[in-house]
Amino acid sequence: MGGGGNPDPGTAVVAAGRRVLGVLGQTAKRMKVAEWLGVLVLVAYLLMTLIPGALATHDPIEQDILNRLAFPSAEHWFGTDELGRDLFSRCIHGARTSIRTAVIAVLFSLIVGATGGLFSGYVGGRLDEILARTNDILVSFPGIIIAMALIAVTGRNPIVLALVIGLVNTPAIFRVTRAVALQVRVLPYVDAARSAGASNLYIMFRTVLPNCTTEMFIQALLIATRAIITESSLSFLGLGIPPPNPSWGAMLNTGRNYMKRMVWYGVIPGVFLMGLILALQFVSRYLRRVSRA
Amino acid sequence: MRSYVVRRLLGVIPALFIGSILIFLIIHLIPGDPAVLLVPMSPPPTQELIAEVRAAYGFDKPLYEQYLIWLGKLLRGDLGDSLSKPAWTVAELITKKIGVTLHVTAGAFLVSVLISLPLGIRMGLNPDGFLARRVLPVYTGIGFAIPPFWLGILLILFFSVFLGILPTSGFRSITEDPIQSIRFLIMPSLAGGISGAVVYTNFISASVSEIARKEFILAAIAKGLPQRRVVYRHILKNALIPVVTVAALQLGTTVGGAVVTESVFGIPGIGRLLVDAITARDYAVVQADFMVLICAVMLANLLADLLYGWLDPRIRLD
Repeated sequence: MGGGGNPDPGTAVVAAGRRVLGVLGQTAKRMKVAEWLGVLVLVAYLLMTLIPGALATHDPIEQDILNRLAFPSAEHWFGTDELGRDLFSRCIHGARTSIRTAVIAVLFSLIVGATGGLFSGYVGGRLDEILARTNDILVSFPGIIIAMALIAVTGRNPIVLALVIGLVNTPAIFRVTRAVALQVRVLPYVDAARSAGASNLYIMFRTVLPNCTTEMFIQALLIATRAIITESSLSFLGLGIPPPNPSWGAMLNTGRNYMKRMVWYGVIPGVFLMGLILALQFVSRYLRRVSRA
Repeated sequence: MRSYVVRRLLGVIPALFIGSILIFLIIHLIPGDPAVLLVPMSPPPTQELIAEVRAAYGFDKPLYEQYLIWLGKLLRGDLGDSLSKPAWTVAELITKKIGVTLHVTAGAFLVSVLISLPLGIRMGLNPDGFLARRVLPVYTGIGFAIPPFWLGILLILFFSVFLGILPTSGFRSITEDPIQSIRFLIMPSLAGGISGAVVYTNFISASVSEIARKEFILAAIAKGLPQRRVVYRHILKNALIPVVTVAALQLGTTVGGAVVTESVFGIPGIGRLLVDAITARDYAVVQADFMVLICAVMLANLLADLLYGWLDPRIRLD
């Protein structure tokens, strides 16, 4: 291929496919068993998020009050909750709640934090000093408390909740991108870009930002786990996802009241929660190992 | 050292001031008219009555005036009256609950230290051993992945429902009945302390293994000092400097964790009060509670700074 000729689209696609497979194969070879397992579990959670209807056996919010607090059976694998809703289906649908919150939170903190960090580090001077000081103060506050203060104002709305959690985690991204911007802005190739007539915005986003991508990705996974834990904690406190939406935290909050009668109600949603966090951890550990090598 | 302390103390004041403004603004943006909540519902309140209540509580004044009034009272220790619990002033409520939360945070901190110190030292002294290479990653992974509130539920399940040896929920003060108090505090301390223990263990083992490689340690061993003395006087004394800072900073997180732990174990502390007040939209209590939490976090940060300066004289100079 290559050269100036007219590449046959078919072979081009095959070549691209081979390249992707090659990269995947190499990645797979470098992974440890636990990391493989993490990826597999993560894929399972993604399926629960994308096609919960295909995996769940029932509608997660359909009530069957006559059949409440039922024990596990062929019909209801994990039994039913206090309103007669199928617990297995609610656990499956809970993945979407968690992952949606995490994705929105991560995107928000990436966009706001990276823009702020780049700007602050690249422009420098007094503005940078003020922003960095403020950021340091924000970092030292426990996120869940700030989130509670904001939720007290905004009320319980799943999207707002995710944005609030993203906001609380923004300082972490700000810190990383600012540090890189400070290092990189004095390097010759930034000068080169400037003398070639690149605008400040172009330099910030096209020249400086690519230096942060690995670290940003690792931070993003960390924020995702934190977002998932914060969402479930707030829902557990009754300040998170409003009912009747399935949320593992909220399920655990009601489940603990029925622990003497049905132990699994207070345990299984937590297993789903922990499985997701562990899977994310294994993947991020792999990334960290590879980026260091 | 004195000028360092004064500088750090002065630095806290603007932060607290900004914090108070933010908390005030955030809370006053809560939708809904607080005056309506204060008026008895039967017979149905007239508009005049609502207006009267609004004026009596100062809800009709401009925001900045309300803030200045609140700040003035705050500085004199007057936090106003609780809207949802009329029998109490906010100051009484808060002081009563602070002691309770201190029990919970102290317990959690104690658990963190008792687990992490021996474990961290062992792993740090032998960084290629089984503990450090095999156990630490698993312990760290699980410790971070278990949400504290679920750990709390699991503990209740095991110790209360299954074994039946610890009470599920409630609280006694340590001065009133020490043995009962400890029985009530065991599970909350474990649930709140594990995440801190994981953080400290990692820091201690990293710090210890770094110091243990230094030349002055080799010199101490070569001099023929007994191992115990090398570990405690030479390695630990140096290795704990960064750990102390992390621990003090982590105190802020422990305070945040108390909000959750108190709810799991039905402990009537600051955290539980906050959750209840948010649900009941009790302005005065929510504001005061957030102010107390902010002060606690600031205090922990200040403590971290001061300890760091005290332990490591190089820090004081800049």
